[in-house]
Amino acid sequence: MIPDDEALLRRCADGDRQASAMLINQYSPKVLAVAQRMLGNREDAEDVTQEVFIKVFRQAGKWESGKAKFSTWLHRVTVNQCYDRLRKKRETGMDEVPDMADDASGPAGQMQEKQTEVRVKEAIETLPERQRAALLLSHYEGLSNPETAEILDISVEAVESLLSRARRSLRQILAGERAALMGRME
Amino acid sequence: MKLERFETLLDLHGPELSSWPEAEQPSARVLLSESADGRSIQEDALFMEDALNSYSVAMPSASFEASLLDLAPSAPRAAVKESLLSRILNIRVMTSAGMALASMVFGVFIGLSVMEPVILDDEADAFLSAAAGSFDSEFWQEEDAG
Repeated sequence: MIPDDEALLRRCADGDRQASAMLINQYSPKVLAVAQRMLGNREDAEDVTQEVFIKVFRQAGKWESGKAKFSTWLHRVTVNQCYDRLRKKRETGMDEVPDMADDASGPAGQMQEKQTEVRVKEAIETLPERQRAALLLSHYEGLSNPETAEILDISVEAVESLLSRARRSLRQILAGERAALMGRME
Repeated sequence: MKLERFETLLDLHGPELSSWPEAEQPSARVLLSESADGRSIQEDALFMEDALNSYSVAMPSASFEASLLDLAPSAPRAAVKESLLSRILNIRVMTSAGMALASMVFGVFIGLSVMEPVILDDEADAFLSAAAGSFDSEFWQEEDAG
């Protein structure tokens, strides 16, 4: 039987390494994925993931049963850590160093997929932070609008509005990519 | 349905009409059958959904997960000691019958220890008598040399 999140947290707080490893195994891919798509590069995403897990382990012993769902809290902490990092980058004027795509070698289909992935990544990075967060939580994490609203601490209507604007922007940006792809196929 | 309304609903509910509110679906289908612009917008939205799915993120490496585990709390020292002790004695699982048996074995051990000096050993007795009766420094020197 897989222990529930609260049981795992209690065991983590007691210094149970196996429970900590299970928690990391279960949640670090989600935290890392949200952070990488929010921040646009792996290095920052790994830093944020470490910061998030420091908070998780600090919170483990203080977790109040039934107060909040752990995964919701974890997503909220992750998004907030990403906001903080983006804000600090803006304040310090540090340019983001985007992850470079692999060399364009290999079959044409793979090259095309890679190009599309790079374009999607660039398009997502053009979105305002809150739209980006709403889209990532909804599309990639598969969360419902009420769950996304709870994480972002806004109303469901506000989430719908953010998602709608994000999808429209992406659709318009990626329409050019689709046209180029159709042109290459002809 | 007008094109602007169609576009708004498309961005709100996605490109699959089946996930739209039922009341909106018939008029959206009519628009798609009549409007090339409507179809183009829907195709752009479908392409966007597929394109979003192409953006993958690699799983955390084993070394990165290990670095996260380093951040996890360790068991307090006292707890480790207690745990070790309880494992050795297996106190939790010791039944009353087991405890009674352990008491009995301990009692027998103590009894035998007390009884042992009463069992006379002739050689030891002679040695003790000689030592108590007359002190002979040569005797002790021999013992030391031996």
